[in-house]
Amino acid sequence: MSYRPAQPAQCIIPPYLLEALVRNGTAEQRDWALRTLSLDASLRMARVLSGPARPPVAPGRLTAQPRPQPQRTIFDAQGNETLPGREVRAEGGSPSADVAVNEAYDGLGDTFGCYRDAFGRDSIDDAGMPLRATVHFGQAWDNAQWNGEAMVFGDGDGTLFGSFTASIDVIGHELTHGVTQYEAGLAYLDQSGALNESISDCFGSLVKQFALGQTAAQADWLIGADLVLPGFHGSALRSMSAPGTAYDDPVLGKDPQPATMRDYVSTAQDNGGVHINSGIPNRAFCLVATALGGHSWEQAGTIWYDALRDARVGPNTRFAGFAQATLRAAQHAYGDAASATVRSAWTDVGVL
Amino acid sequence: MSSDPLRVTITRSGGVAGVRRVWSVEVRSLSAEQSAELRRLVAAAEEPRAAAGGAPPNSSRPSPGVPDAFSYTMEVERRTGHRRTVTGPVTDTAAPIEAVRRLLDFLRTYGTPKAVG
Ligand SMILES: [Zn+2]
Repeated sequence: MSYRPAQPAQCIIPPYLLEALVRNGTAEQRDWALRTLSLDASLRMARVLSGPARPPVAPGRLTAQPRPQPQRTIFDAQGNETLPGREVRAEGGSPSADVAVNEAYDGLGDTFGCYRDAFGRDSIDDAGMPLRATVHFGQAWDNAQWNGEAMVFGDGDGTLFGSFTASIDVIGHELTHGVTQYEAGLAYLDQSGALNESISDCFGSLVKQFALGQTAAQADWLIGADLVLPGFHGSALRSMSAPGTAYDDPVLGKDPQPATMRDYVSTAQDNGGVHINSGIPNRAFCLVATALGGHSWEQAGTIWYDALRDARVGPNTRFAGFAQATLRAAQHAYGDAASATVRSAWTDVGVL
Repeated sequence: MSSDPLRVTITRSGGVAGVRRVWSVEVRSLSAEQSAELRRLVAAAEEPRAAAGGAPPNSSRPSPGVPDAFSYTMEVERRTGHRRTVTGPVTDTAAPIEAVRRLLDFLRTYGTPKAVG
């Protein structure tokens, strides 16, 4: 599948710059920016005016700097495990004959674009960090990873999994581990680790929905659907709408994800089941996005993004603490009805 | 020798896929040369520093892992009874635990993948 970025902004000035103008511009600029914003953005503006959630943008930066652009570099490990490997495509370079190179390049661009246009974020660190990715790492390596500095993709085992560059949501998932690293810093263990995993699934899915221009109702809410091969008995690695139903495979067993706290899995493996129990907050997000309707990144995504940046969400935050942060974010940005929707979702999955 | 391994199993969890994979080898299925190689690999992988990824083995509170790194559990069954060695997270892209990696390569070559129960 080929993903082309949607055209989300009707206005040539992205919302985050308008928000910055409201915050830091002259009276004239501020009036113009407020008039230009849509109703939805105006609701968000109430938050911008009253809340300290986002760091102020220096006025000089507004006028002097153009819209942030990704700075991508793709490397090829050629089946070895030495990083970064040979440079094969730089920003603006021609497409490669190698599909994995182009998938990585496009996926990094889609992720950068989603964070920039939907959330006003400038790359992983919100400071323009260049994006680097290595493809063809190792032999039959069935994984993708953010190693703290760059992305690494394997080719899969060729039986169950193909190249891990094939799923845009997996690329978004991995880069979101970088975002979480720079924001809440959720410790990768037990509930905070499952929350870290869930944040990556939520924004990974949002990146895909954003690139395809899908609404919450149109989204498949699957993670890794495009990288599983016919030998894999299932539709994807995880289902956010119906955790525990993504696969039932003779080799891998059945999808172990719970959908509610009642079925929370206590285990020593997988850092305390971080890829298992993430099903619970995943489903909460899917319920919120579906109930609020429209494009998931607009309201549900904003609520989750603001919660991730909430000062009270830190390395040891558990499900209930994050749920409270989403309630505060929903109330602040969208008011009582949205807050009630968020509370209902967390109650459905047994967290509140 | 009575402490020689009978069966060696490595379970891998984690990774972005979050699926478990299991590889196992029966010593009786190996040639004498392969058995000797397996004994060497197991001894190296059981060496405490290798098995725990530099941390003290069997520490009560595990430390947070690296996102989407693989974690490995190695189980060595012997005539004298079962013994289990739990490894810490292995960051393939940053700090591979060579001894465990070499043992896993051996199991992939000479052993069989098992279904996850
Ligand atoms: Zn992950």
